[in-house]
Amino acid sequence: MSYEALIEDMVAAQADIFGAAAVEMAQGVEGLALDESGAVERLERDGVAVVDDLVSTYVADLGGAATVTLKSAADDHADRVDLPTALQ
Amino acid sequence: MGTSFDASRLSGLAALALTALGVLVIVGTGASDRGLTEASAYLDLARSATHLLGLGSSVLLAYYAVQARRRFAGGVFGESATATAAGAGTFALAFLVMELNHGLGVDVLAVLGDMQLKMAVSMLLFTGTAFAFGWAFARIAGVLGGSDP
Repeated sequence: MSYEALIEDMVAAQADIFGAAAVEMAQGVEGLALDESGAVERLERDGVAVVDDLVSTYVADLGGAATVTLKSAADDHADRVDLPTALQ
Repeated sequence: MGTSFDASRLSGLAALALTALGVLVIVGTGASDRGLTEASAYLDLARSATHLLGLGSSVLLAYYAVQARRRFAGGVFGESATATAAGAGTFALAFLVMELNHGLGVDVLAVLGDMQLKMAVSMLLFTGTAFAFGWAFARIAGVLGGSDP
């Protein structure tokens, strides 16, 4: 388990609901490079900070309801990586 | 990023729109059993206004649903938007049929002949709308709640 895996699960959870738009939104997060399928290519910043920015991006674009699926996706990773406050 | 869709706000607006459209159906169909000769001029005007308001609201809702469908294609939200557009379309069709008959005297269901059959077709349009809206809501609620229908 890693931040890459956590991010991919978060993006996949959002893509299930919002389609390719969810990947496009995540591609706008600084320090995060994703391919079109939502797989992480590079993580160029601290994992917690990137995950926190990813949550903020989704909430800004989709509303607070987005955190429901993001928290659910993060649950499986909670004992392996540090989660930002927004996902706790 | 282009147009931003706030999912929770959109859900609230959709609920308000459905409530408003429901009221329109009650008002629109409640008066439709009266004959033209019995209806007052005021009621006549109110019926046309209700039909046109219902038609306009439905078309507007369908437009926004199509925009959301384009934005979220490939996801559950896109599927729900498709169902919402279809439901709004049948709703608009029902109001169009009613107003064509009431305002212009054009009975597009005349080919069906029997009045009961005409009413059944009208109710089928409303049923289709209710089913499409219900399915759209159930898909979103299901995936957010973790149990797809």
